[in-house]
Amino acid sequence: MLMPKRMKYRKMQRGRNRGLAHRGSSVAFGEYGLMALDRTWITSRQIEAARRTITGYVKRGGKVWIRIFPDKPITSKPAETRMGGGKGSVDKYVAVIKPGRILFELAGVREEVAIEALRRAAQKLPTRCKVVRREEMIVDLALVGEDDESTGTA
Amino acid sequence: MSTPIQLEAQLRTVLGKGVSRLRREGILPATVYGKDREPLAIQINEKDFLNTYRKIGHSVLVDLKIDGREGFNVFVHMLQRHPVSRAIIHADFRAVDADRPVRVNVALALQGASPVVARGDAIVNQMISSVRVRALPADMPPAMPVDMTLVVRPTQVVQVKDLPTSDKYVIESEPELILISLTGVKRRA
Repeated sequence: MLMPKRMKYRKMQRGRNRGLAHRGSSVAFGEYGLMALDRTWITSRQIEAARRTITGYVKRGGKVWIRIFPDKPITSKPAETRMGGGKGSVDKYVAVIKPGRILFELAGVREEVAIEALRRAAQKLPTRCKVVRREEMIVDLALVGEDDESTGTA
Repeated sequence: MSTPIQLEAQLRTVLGKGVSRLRREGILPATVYGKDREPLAIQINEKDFLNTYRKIGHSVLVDLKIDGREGFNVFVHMLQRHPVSRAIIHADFRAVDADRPVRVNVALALQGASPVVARGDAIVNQMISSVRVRALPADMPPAMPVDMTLVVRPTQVVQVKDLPTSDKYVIESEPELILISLTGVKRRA
């Protein structure tokens, strides 16, 4: 499972999670991506479960990118413990997710396989998701500058 | 050469947070800037822009007319998108001089299918989607064609040096840079 190799400070406060994901919100490496639509914390276990789902469905071929990293330690106290005694011990690590964040990317598989693999991965995550495609232009040479209809005059 | 693609824009007086009202009315806020020019705030009909952009991308010269007057020769330079909806919320146009060479990232256009891929023995990995090209604005290629039918072995790669050359433009990306590779697909038992 993903977790930081070393931490400067072992425990962290909860913090606030506001705004939209202005970074990491476009498909950068693969052809298809899974975008989070809610703000949430995703644990390293959930990331691993989703990753396994994708690789399991894709079988062979294809390449998966994990675009998030769980770098926030979450502490918890043992069950049936009285309050007090200081902050609990680190229980898990989470990635802080804002709406628009690309969680996984996938390339090298057919479109219907990619969409289904990412849809299944989304089932393992605590957020609504949508599958997005890479935004870059796929230029069709036949359309460019040849026919008059392509001159999109206002 | 075919007639240049035209776009009609208006000078924009609404600046700052007020532009969200323009977006609701189907108007896209934009900016034109370039070497030795003052930046100009403009607005365009969103539908017209999207129709044009889908066809031309970033490497086709556009004749941008502002308020019906003589306009600028521009390239679509940068687009801002909404983080969730991915709708275009702002466009930057880069004004260029017709007689001064410019550098533009030209998109790759994959043509045909590799026989290996067609047989289902491999999948295409496109590492890079555009290459940096230097040319006079009018000579800028709309896209850089990559003939996939020439990729006949699973270990074969397409590099920048394999792209078509011309005396009208110079490809400035590293010649050894790999654009396309194939990954073999193992058959399921």
